[in-house]
Amino acid sequence: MLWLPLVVGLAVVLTVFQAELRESHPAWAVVTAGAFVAAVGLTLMPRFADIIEVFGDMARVANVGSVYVTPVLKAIAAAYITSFGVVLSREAGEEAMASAVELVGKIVILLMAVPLVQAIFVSLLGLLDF
Amino acid sequence: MTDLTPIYRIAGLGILVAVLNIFLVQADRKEQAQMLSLAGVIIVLLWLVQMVAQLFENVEAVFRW
Repeated sequence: MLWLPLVVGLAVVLTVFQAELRESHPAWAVVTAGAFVAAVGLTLMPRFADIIEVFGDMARVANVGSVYVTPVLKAIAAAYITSFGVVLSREAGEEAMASAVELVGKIVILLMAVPLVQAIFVSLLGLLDF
Repeated sequence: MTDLTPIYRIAGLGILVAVLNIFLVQADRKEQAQMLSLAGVIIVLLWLVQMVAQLFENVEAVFRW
C-alpha cells in the first residue's frame, strides 16, 4: 500500500510544475499529464486484476453465468480507457475532441450491453406469452 | 514497487531541452530553439505512446474474464 502516498506526492509535485508548464510549454504539460496517468494506471493494474479475480470467483460460487459478468467487466474496461482519453483532451482544452471520445465510449458500452437488453426483452416476451 | 522510471526519464529530457532552449534563445537562434523543443516533445510522445499501448494491453488482459 506504499504506492498511495507515493502517487499522491508525485501528483502534487507535478501539479505545481503543470501550473508553470501550461503557461510556457502547453505540449509538455499534456505529455507530462499523460505519462503520469499511464504510469499510475500501469502500477495499479495488477491490484485491479486481483479484485477482478475475486469478483469472478464470487460469480462462480453464486452460479452467475459469464454471459452476465463479462459485459460488466468489459464496460468497466471501456469506461476506463475512454476516461483516459477524455481527461487528457479536456485538460488540454480540446473540448470537441473530448466529447467525440466520450461519444465513442458510450456507443461501445451500449454495443456491449445489447445482448443483455436482448435477453431481458426475450424473457419479458416469454413472461407475456407472446 | 511503483515503476516511476518513465516519469523521471521524461522529467530529465524536459530539463535538458529547457536548458538547451535557453542557450539557443540567448544565442539568438529562435528557430533552432523551437525545433529542439518540438523534437523533445515528439521523443517524449513516442515514449508516451508505448506506455499507453502497454496500459491498454494490461487493461484488456485484466478485464478479459
